[in-house]
Amino acid sequence: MTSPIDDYITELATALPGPRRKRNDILAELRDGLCDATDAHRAAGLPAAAAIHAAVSEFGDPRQLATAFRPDLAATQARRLILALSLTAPLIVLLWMHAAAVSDGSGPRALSWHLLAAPPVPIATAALGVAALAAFATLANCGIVKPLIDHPRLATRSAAVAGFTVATTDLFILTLLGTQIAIAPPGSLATVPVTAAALLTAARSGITHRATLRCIRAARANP
Amino acid sequence: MRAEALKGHLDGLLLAALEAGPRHGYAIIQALRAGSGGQVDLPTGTVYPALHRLESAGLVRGTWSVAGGRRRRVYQLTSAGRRTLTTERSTWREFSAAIGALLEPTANLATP
Repeated sequence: MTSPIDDYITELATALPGPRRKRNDILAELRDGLCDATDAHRAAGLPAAAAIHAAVSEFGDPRQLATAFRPDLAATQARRLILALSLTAPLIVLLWMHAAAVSDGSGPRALSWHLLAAPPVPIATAALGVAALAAFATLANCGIVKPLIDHPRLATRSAAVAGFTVATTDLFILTLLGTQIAIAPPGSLATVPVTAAALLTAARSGITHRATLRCIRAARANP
Repeated sequence: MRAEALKGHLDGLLLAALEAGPRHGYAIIQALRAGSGGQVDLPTGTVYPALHRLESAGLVRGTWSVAGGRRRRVYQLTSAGRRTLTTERSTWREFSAAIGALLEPTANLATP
C-alpha cells in the first residue's frame, strides 16, 4: 500500500509543468513539508496514520497547489528560452557568415545568399552586442528583465513571440539555402561549414519550437 | 483569520518570518501560527508557491541543506528582501494607524 504522502506527491507531479530540475525541487520540498506536518501532528498527539491524513488535508488539493506554482514555473521557463535564444543567435549568424565567406561566391547567387555572404560587419557586431546585453540582463536580473519577473504573463508572452519568430526565421534561412543550392554551380558551396550551419539552424528551429510550446502550456492556468 | 484578509500581507508576513534567521517552508508556517497565537494560519497551498515567487523576485534565497539525514530547502532573506520588509512594515504602520483612528469609537469624524 502506498502512503497518502506518496499519492499526494504523485498527483502534484502529474499536474506540475515546467523545467525538470525546478519541478523535482518543488516535489522534494513538498514531500519534506508533508513529513514536517506529519511530525507536528504526531507531536500534538495524533496516532501515526491520522497524523499523515491530517498533514495531507492541511496541504490542500494538489492540483490547486500545482496551479499556484504555474506562473512562476512558466516565467522561469520563459526566461531560460529568451536566454538560450539570445546566446545562440550570434553563433548562428557567425556560422552562416563564415559558411558564405569560405564558399565560392563568383557564380550566380540567390538574393538571400548575397545577404548572407556580405553582411556588413556592423550587423554582426550589433547582433553580438544585443545578444550579450540580453544574456546579461536575463542573468543579472537588472532593470530590463525586471518586468519579466514581476509579470510572469509578460515573460511568457515575450518568450512565445521570440520563440516562434526565431523558429520561423530559422526555417526561412534553410529555405534560402535550398534556393542557393539549386542555382549555384556544383561544388561552389563549402560543404563542411554550410552543413554545420544548416544542421545547427535546423536543430535550433526544432528545439525552439518545442520549448516555446512547452512554455505556453506551462503558462496555462488550467492544464 | 480568513485567508483573503491576509492576502495583501502574505509577502510581508513571509519576509518577517525569515527576519530572525533562515527557516524551511513548514517552519515558516508554524512560526506565523505560533507568533499570532493561532490567528494567522496560512493555507499551506499558498505558502510554498509564494516562497518560490519571492525567490524569483530576489527577495529570498532558497538553498538545500541536510539536517538530521533529511534534505530540506531552507530560505533566507536577501538584502533586497530586507529592504522590502522595511517598506512593508512602514506601509503597514501608516495603514493601521489611519484605519485604527477611524474605527475607534472616539474617531474624530465630522457629524453629517
